[in-house]
Order: sequence, then structure tokens, then C-alpha cells
Amino acid sequence: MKTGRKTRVFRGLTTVTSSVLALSIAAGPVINIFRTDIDKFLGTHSTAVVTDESAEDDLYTYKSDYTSTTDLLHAISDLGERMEEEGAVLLKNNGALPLTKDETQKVSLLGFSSYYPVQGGDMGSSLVENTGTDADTVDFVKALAARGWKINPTLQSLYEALLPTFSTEVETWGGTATYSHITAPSIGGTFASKEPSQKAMDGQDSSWKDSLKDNNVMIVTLARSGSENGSYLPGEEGVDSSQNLNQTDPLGLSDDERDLIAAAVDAKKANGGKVIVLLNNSSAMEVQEIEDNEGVDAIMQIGLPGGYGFYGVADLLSGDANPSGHLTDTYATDASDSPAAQNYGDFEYTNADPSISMNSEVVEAEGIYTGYKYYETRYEDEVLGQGNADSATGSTDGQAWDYSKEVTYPFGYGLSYTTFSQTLDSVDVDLTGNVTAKITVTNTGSVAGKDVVQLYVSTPYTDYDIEHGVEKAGVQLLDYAKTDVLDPGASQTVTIEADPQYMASWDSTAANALGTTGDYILDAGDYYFAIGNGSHEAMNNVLAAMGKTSSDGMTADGDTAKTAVWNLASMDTTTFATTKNGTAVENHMQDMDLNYWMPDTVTYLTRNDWDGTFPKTYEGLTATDEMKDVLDNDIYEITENNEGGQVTWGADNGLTLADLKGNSNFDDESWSLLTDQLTLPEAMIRVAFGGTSTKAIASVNSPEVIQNDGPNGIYSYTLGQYANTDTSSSDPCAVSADDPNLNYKFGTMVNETVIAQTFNKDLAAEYGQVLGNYSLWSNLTILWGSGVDLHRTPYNARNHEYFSEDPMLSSYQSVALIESALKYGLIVAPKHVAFNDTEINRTGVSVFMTEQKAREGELRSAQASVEDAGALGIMTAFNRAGVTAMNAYTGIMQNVLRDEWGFRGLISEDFIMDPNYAVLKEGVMCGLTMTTFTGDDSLDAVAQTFSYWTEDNVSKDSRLQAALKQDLKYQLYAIANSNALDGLSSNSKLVSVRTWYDNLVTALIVVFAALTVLNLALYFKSAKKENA
Amino acid sequence: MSFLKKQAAGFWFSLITLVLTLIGLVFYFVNSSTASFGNIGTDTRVIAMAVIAMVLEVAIIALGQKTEGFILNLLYIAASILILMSFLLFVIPRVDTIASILTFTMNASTLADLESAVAGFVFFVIALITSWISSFLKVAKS
Repeated sequence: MKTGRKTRVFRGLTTVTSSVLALSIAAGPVINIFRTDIDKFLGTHSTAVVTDESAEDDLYTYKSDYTSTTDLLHAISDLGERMEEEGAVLLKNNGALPLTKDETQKVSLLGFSSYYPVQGGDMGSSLVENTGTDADTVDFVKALAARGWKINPTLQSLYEALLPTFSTEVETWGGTATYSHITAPSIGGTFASKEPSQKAMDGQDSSWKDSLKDNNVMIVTLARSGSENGSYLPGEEGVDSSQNLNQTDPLGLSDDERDLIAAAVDAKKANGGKVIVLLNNSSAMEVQEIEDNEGVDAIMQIGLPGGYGFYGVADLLSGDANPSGHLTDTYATDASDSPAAQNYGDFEYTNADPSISMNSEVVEAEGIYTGYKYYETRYEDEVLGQGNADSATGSTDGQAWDYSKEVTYPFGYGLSYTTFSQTLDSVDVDLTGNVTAKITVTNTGSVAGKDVVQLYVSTPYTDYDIEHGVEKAGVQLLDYAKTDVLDPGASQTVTIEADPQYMASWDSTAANALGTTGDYILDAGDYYFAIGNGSHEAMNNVLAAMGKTSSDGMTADGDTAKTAVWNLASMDTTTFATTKNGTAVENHMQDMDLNYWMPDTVTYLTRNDWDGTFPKTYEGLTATDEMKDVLDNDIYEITENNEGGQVTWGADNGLTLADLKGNSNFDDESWSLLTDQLTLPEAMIRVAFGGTSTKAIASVNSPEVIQNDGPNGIYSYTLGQYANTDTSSSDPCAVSADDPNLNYKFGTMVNETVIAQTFNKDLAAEYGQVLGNYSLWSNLTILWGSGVDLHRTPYNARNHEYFSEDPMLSSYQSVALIESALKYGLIVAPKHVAFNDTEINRTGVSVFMTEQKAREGELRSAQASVEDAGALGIMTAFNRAGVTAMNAYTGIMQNVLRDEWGFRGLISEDFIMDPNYAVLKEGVMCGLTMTTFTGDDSLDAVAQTFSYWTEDNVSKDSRLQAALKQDLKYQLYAIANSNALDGLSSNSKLVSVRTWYDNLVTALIVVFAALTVLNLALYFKSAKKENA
Repeated sequence: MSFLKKQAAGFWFSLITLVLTLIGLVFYFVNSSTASFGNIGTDTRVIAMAVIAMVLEVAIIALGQKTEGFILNLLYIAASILILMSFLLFVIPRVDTIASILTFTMNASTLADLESAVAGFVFFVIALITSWISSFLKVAKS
């Protein structure tokens, strides 16, 4: 057969069009796999809820406080500004601050971070820059300009010209991303200072120093960034050694930063003026040398201010606002000397196995002694002359350990432009009620301001504790409050009603009511309650009450009047033996202790012997076979059993989720009737594929509910992406399609550390309120947005998404936020439960610790969010609890969260994309309600990801089915008590929607089928002609 | 040597298609054994379709020496579609993991794992394009 050129052309065209036809046909199933993400990306909807609004009076349970998106955005920007005003911490001030009006007209901004500050994380809680909206974001320079300040133009031009030299390039696949601000090191990377050297500045413009004469109010900004999937490493190992900048720690200063401060100080000597240092960071920096530098007049820690916080910074500097923030973390002289830092890093198992996400381990051998609980406790023992506290082990200079050399600024410390006196009027202890403290605060200075009351408790450390391995912090924050604005001379009596359960200590050896071991105990002895400007002052007050003075080695004399003593005659092992919901406690996390698996391997730090038990670094561990049996993630075996009883699926009870709208009685029989209607495949698919949104469930008319990331706002989608633009509906938050704020993205709030630094629960509640309102306008109902992991060390670059090193401060800020948001039907979920103490190998890292540390640390940080605030969502952590994937860890997921705390809401994994490590069947048994996978709405698709997740397998395992059904009950309960059901009623119907891209695919199939047939016909015609 | 002199552009493009498909398949195996993508496993459909496509390319070359009739036309269509489908089945299970690497788990190790995936994708796509091109061209000069 002859084939001419024309025939070959039609052959080729047939080949191409048939391929495209095949691609178009394949696109349908492929689209179904990724439909969730496609809809998110394109802003399309594949399902809709149709409601006959005329049949109902009021479909909208939750009401916004605002009448327009303009009002909403103004509320956000206003709160962002006020959050910074109350959250920035004045650390040092010789009277230089606040600036006068004249001084704001001659300001020199030094340091590239003044012009390119860190306003959010590099990744995670990043700042979303908004323009063209009613609340455009600003940086420092713009905020100062808005306030009418005048900035040294020579310096501004110099830094702008030097931009390429301090830009940071971060390697990403296929290229690099460039950041103008300083960035946190990526995993395995080191910190490189980007501050331009004096030589570089002189080379760019030699007149810059001369320009300081007329602009002698010098503000130097030093920054360290925060980032998800980033980490600093302690000590010189964490610094780019090729720079030779005499930097001994990534959180300490480089010579270029020192030189910059020195240049400002020299200029002040020559020209007069002021030198003010701003710390733009979320991980505590090492700034003793700045504190010691007499040429530096003031230091202010501003955190990561988000999109509006710099307005607040400007107002603080000018005195239009008065600082009232206090530190959420201890600012150590050298953080790498802390006990926790000894086990912070990349410690791979020698038999690591990537196929099961088994990578590395972290042994938290410091026990409860992180942050101030280490420094203050060791200090107490130093003064009391016990526990070898004054040994050289762990000291910064190799000499006897000395608190004054170890801590620059203690936890809870902060200054004001005025002065306050605080008197502890009374403390009443009712173990079955509250610890009620009354504190009178008086403004003794000359300007109005707010003050923070911090109530600490020092619990007795007894022989029993020593014998049974129970550790006690010298002081621990019990609760706190912030005053109103007090005018000079004005007083306010603040009443703190603290929860006494948080005075109790976990004793893993104690017998309990269940006949097992593990109980919360209160030792017999004296309990000292103390107030103070930070943990150290409180500790000194406690020591004063113990009869100690500076002659005993105290850094300063304490004030006995600021303490109260309460005596417990005998050990109490019963009051907190049951939780608030009546569940008896017992040990649930003993296997998080590495010694459980490898006896006598770990020596935990005890205050009974600081020298002999100071942590060594645990590295080079080889997991035993027993550990690997759990590390392989295959923990639950699906079997044929009837342990869950007869599980009903697919019943026809005539209910829809809207029938249970607002039903907060979890034990109401209606919930069982509703979940009986679910089909087994529905339940299996919904738990397996719960990523980025909880999908619609047809059998009960549960709508799709969109999930969003935080914590610096609801920033996954624009305000308009899911907003209701049908203004003819009865939705009070419907917006016009041409609303100017539809492209706004709420990733603009200050970082969580600043929120905590306010020590103001009301402000946290206000944040919950604006989030809740935003949720109503944007129709975004779930926010993974209350970061409750602790700052175990400052080296975790993700600290910017978490509140504090202290569990109570974290807990109560989270409670205020969650509780307030729920009033608007927004589910704010605490994350990441628990122990995301490092981002290094976060997907799988084994975190080992004692049960006491687990319960009194990060679990305590999340506890009140469930018990008190009634959180309806939780996101779990990437890491393992010991050797067990967190989502498979019954001890926490089921025994603590669900049972002890009574958590009734939905639980999502973090973004785990390895089906093996996602532990679906184990997670279902542990109360997990959704993984983060997405896919086609079919069991076949699920089984391709989770091969064991078939109807045949699950239907024979009654126990698994019962757990699965219970998990769906949790999820539906959460949704029914959120604003996701606003606009829905019993008559609502879920309908499928053909999107424009569905229609496009159909059109492509038709077109390319026709073209293929046409080309084929032309091929035959041409071939026939050529062979005729 | 004389055999090669007789070959037209279609021969070379078919040969290139075969080689590119083979390389793509090698990257598939490499990628399937990486830490990041290992748990996805290997899909016999990817392998089978790629192998059949390569066999068809051989058949195209062989048949094209003698005749360029309708059978050859079918072979071109089949080879292209098989390469396309093999590519899709290579890509689809990896999307979530790639998203994870590019967002949440980016580090030197995961990026290295990603490289073999992307290399495989690229070879399959180029193979598809050369397959299309070859279908427009003569295999042998006469």
C-alpha cells in the first residue's frame, strides 16, 4: 500500500486527536480524584445545598456584628494594631522611650529588617499582603509614614539599593524562591546573617554616617524569622561558619549586627540622640550584650507583627500607646546550654526505615524542666543550696551555675512607660472549686497604662517526690489577668479564679482508684502563691517567704507581701483522681518513655541532682524489634469479630443533619438515629478522604465544610471564594459580587507569640470574635488555628505558630480564642496535638518523654481548650508519641482526649500523604474523623490508597465499624454545632453541580471524537485515492 | 549500514520514542523505590502499557519497512495512547506526595526523590510527542 504525504498527515492527525480524545476521556475520572482541590483552586462548587427559604423563619443561627465587609476588615486591622500595642514587650528603657513628636521627625532606621521586616512565617502563618482592599497591609516604613514620621532618606535609599545583597534565596525544586526578609534555616541548613557589613554600607553610600547627625533617633531592627518545616540548630553548628562573623548561635548576634549597633552608639556619642533596638522575632534571641550595652537606650521585642502591627509599634514608640506586653519565653544568655537543647537536633535511628516513616528520635530527657521551669527551679535550688544546683554542669561559662549569668530576661517580664504597684490581697484555695486570688494594682506613675497580674504557685518538693520520681518546678504560672487602662493614681482589684487541678503533679507510681497506677497528686506541705513581674520576681518573692534574702545568693530581695501560703496537711491523691467529666485517671503514656523499650537507657533530669542527671545527648539509637513492631504502623489487625455488636447502616429514619442543628446534647438519641442512616461506604470514604474539606454526605444531607489554615487568620482562601453572592437570599452575610474586599485574605494577624505576650484573654477573645465574624462572611467554618504546642526550645522555627513555653498561658489564650469563635459557629481547632517540638523529620520523628512531662506540658496546654472552651475540632501532629504514630496512639487520642477530657468534636490528621503512616484503620479506632487525603468518591479509589480499606474487610469487623460510626457521629456533631448549617433546614437538599470544567471535558470528548472520526475518514479517502 | 541509510525520519522518531519510553520507565522504577514514593508501589499497568508501547514502536519500525497501511495507522494510535495512559498512571498516584513535598516536607532528600519522578514524567511526555511526530513521517525512504 502506498502512503503519500497527505495520507501521512491524516494518519498523524488521527494519532494526535485520538490521543487527546483518550486524554479527555481519562480526564473525567482524574478530575473526580482531584475534584476537591480543583474546586478549591478554581473557586468552583461541585455540590450545592438547595433550601426552600420561604418555608423557614430564620435559617441563620449565627449573626455577624458587622453590616459590611468594610466594617469587618476595619475590625481586623484595628485588632491587629491593638494586639501589637499590647503584645510588644518593652525590655529595656532608660527613659528614651517614648519619643517626642519632634523626635519622630528625625528617625534613622538601621538594619535591613527595618525596611524588610519579618511580618509572618516564611512558611505557615505567612503574611498575606493585601492591596486594593479596605484594610491594606503595611510594613514598618509605611506605618511610620502613615503616622507622619520622617525617615532618614539617605539610609532608606542605601538599604533599598543593597536589597540584592541581603535577599535570601531558598532552594526549592526547579529553582529558588527569593525573600527580602531574613529567613529561618531550612531543615539541615544553617543560619546565615544577611545584615550588610559596615564596609558594604560605606561602599554603597559613604555619607550614611553623616546622615545620622540630623536624624539622630536611631532605631535598629534585628530579626530572626519563623517557619514551618524550618529549624535553627543550637550553637555554632547552627551558624554558617563560612561567614566568620563571630556568631556562636543562630539566635545570637553576628559581628555585622554588633557593628551596626556600635555605629549607632558611636553616632549618639558624637551627635546626641537615641539608640533603640527592636527585636523582630518569635524564637527567643540571645541579647545579653545589647542589654549590657549602655549606649543602647531601649529594647523592644515586637514579635512578628503581621499586616497591621507596625501601626501599633509606631504608636508605642511615640507614646500614643503604652507597652503592656510580657515575655512568653525565657530569654536565655545562651539557649544552647539549656537541658532541652541537649536533645534538640537530627538524631537518626541507626536502623531508620523510610518505608514506614521511621527516621529519627528526640529524647526529652529534661523532663518538666523547660523554659523558666528549668531556670527558676535551678535558681531556687541554688539559693536553697540543694540538688547540686551550683555545679558547673550546664553553665554558660564553665563556672558554677549562676542564674544571673544564665538569663537575660525571664518569662513574664515586661516594662511600661509608667510604674505599677501590686498587692496580693488574698488567696483562697478550694480544691473542688477555684484558687481565688485578689490583687490590687495601682498606677504609681505618670501616664495611663495597663498592667499584667501573674499568679504563680510553688508546690512542695518532698521526699516522696524524690523517691517516686515526681518533679516540681520552683514556680509555675497558674493563671493571669490584665487590668483595664489605669490612669495615674488609679487602682483596680483584679480577681483571678484559677483552676486548682493545674497545681497537681502526675505521679506514674501512685496507686489509683482503678487499681492500677498513675494519678494526679498534691503533696503535703506549704504551697506558696506569688505574684510578680515575671517568673523570676515571683520566684524571689517565694524565696523571701521562705526567709531568704540577697545574702543567700538571691539576685534581688523578694517581697513576702506578694506571697500567700496555703498548707495541705496530707497528701491528696483523690481530688484529681477523676477528671471534670468523672473519668478516673491512670497511666496511659508509659511507652512514651524510652526506658519502657530500652530499660535504663535514659537518665531524666531531676532537681534532686542537677549535676548528675543533666541530660546527655541521646543519639545513634537502634530501635529494637519490639519497637519496630509498632514503628511499622500496622498496629490494628482487621478481623472478623462481633465486639462492636450489631452496627446499623443505611436505616431510613427520615432525619437530616439540619434536624439536629444546634443540638449540643451528644447523648441525645437523635444522633444515633441520624448516624444509623449513614451507609458503610459513605462512612468509610468520608473518614479516608477528608482532606481540605469535610465532604458532603448525601444520606444525612451534611454539607461540604471548608477547612482553613491559621493561626494568623483564615488564610487558605480569599474572603470571596466561598462567600454567598446571592444578595436576594436571606443570608445576612451575603455580599455583592462587586464587593471591593472579595480578594482579601486574612493572613494578617500578629503571630501567636505576640497574642500570648498581651497576657490579655479579652484580646484573644476579640481575635476569636473577628475570626468568627470573618467565618460568617466567607463561609469558612473550620480553622486549624490555635497553636498549642510549647516552645520547648527557641530553636524550633515553628514557634511563631505557638503561643509560649508555658502551658497555662498557651492554654488560656487558646481557650479565650476558641470559646469566642464558637459563638459565631467557627470551629477553631487546637493544633498540633501533641509534641510538635521540632520540625526536623517531623513526619515520623519519635518523641520520647515521661508521662509527667506529657501531661503537665503540651497536653495541659490543650486540655482547657477541650474541657473549658468546648473545642469542636483538633488537628493532630505529624510526629510519633514514642514509637507510635500519633493518630494511632490510643493513650492520647482515645484515653485522654475522648475519655478524660470528653472531647466530642472532629479530629483531622496533619498533611500526612503516606498511606502507611496515615494509619487509617488505627486512626479510626482512636477517634480520628478524617485523614487529609482526597480522592474520587468511591471505595475503589479509597482502596487504591488504603488497600485494606474495603467493604469486605470493614464489614466483617464489628469493632472497627462501631468505631467508624462513632467517629462520624463526632464529626456530624461538630458540624451541626457550627455555622456550616446556617442557611440549611430540614427541607434542604444536596445537589450535584456540573462545573464549567465538567462541561469543558464533555465538550473536548465530543470535539476530539468528531475530529478523530473525521481524520480517520480523510485518511481512508486519501489512501484510497493514492492507491487508486 | 545500508539499512540505516534506507531509513526515513519516521524511523528515527520511532526509535527515539522507544528509547525515551524506556528511560521514562527506568525512572519510574527508580522513583518507585525512593523513600518518598516507595509506599505507592509499582503499578503493573504502567509497566505493561509502556512495554507494549515499546513493542509497538518496534512493530512500527518493522512494518514500516514494507508497507504503511492501516495496520500501521492503528499501531501509531495504540502506541501513543499507551504511552499517554502509562504516563497518567505514573503521575496520578504521585500528585499528593508531590504536593506534600513542595509544601510540607521539602528537604534535600525529598527533593532528590522528586527529581526522579519529574524526570520520568518529562521522558514520557517527550516520548508521547515524538510518537505523535513519527506518525506524520515515513519510516523508510522507499
